[in-house]
Amino acid sequence: MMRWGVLHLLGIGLISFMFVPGDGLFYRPEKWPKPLYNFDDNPLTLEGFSLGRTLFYDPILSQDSTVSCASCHLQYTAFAHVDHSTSHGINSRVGKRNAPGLMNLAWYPMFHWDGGVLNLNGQAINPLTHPDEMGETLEGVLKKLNRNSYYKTKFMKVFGAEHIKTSHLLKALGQFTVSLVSANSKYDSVMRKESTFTKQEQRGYSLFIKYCNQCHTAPLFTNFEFKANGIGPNNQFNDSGRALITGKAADAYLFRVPTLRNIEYSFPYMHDGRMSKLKEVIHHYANSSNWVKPISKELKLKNNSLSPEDQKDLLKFLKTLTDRTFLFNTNFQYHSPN
Amino acid sequence: MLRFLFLFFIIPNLGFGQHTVKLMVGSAPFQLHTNYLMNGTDSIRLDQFKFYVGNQRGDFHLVDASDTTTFSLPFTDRVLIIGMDSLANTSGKLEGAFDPLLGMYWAWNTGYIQLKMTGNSYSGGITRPFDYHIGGYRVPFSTSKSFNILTANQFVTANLDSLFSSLPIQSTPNIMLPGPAAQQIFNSFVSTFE
Repeated sequence: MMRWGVLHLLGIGLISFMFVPGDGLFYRPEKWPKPLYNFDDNPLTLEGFSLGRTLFYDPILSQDSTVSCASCHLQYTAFAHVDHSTSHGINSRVGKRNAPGLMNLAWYPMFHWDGGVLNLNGQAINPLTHPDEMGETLEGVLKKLNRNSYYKTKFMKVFGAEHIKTSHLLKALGQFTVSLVSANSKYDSVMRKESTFTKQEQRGYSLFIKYCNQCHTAPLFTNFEFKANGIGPNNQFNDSGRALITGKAADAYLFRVPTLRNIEYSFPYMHDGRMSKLKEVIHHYANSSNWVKPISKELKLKNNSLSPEDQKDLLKFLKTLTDRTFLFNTNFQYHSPN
Repeated sequence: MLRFLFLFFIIPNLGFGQHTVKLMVGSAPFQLHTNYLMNGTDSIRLDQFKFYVGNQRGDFHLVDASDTTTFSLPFTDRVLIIGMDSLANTSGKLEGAFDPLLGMYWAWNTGYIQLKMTGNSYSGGITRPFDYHIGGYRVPFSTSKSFNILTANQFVTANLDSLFSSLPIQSTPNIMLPGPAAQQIFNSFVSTFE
């Protein structure tokens, strides 16, 4: 009786400290908005999640079985692609955009740097079929999965599917990717009043609220709008961003505001990965003389001029957005198929 | 007597039943891989012709000219929609008629191709391939139109002559994006329905 009581207390203590449920499945952090993902259409199960994880790490999804989702989305870098400014694909082909980190996708109203993709399940078709990424066809990948006895058994178990179809593949991947919740950084624990910022972090936080928060709005650290941040068009790719989707000239060279969660680890930065250091990024925002048109009004209004000291403080604050329980969550790592 | 009464009750109901799409060129059923003379000298040949028809409840069906079984619509509604509305485009359903495997899904710019026509035109000894992927649901370039079916009519008939002769094959042989050009072709298509 006594022992149960102690265990119970310990359990509660651990949970409130870690704030991460043990199984890796999606959860909604306290005080966060309602997620947008349609869970009714794809009810999460541990087996579905683990099937999605197996697929995420399996190069079978690419045309020549050399590239998996994890090739460009590595967990230790918040599922972004380190060391490569833009994504890589089969036959060493190179894409035009920086593979973004994957986290808190259940709250995303749209995906990709240009916001062209409106649902998480459908997103996966893009890297699967893009010639510069996995270069496969849906027909091809479904054929391979349907010939594979391991996957046949798993999909039967999770979806009751005799024959693996597009929707089964996409829902399985969705069960894994929607579960990648990161909400347990130092910043979060400070907000939960479980720890406190250092003086420098606190100064950085004040600067953040003043200069950055308008677009990189908590708790997701993005307002999901499309902005031009003054880095200017990419000379190599001439990627006009949001305008490719809307066809509006006013949207030329606008890109989606990215989240700043785990930003310390999700280098390189910007839609084309042109900056490799977070210091460089802050330096860009801190010196309006560097800005190249187009520049969104939010940025123009700030007309930033931050001292080197301010920049260091801001950097310290941004590092409090690193969530090690996410980056090293064993539930998200590769597991050999069982 | 009994049999007569039985028929009496059944026959009117057939009129409210499922509809069948009839695609015509001139007075003959339209066929893929067939040359059609347009204006005395030019001709056109289609290799693919597919489009979506649905109802107001969000059910959609893909009519594919290469498979006549798809001509029977699985709806009994009196209002049909040619081309998906924005709700259907963004529903995130990826099953049945919504399966991206059908080659009608734009993965990078979420939405469906509502009318797919590919083929060749022949004019003055020159062969011009064309590829029309017609879709879009963002205002003002929507490619969706609802219309009432005459309940007595079992067939939903489209006379494609005017669509084929209106295609801008010389100037714009490829359309793969939503926009004014796509909408114009869609409007020509919708107007072929009686």
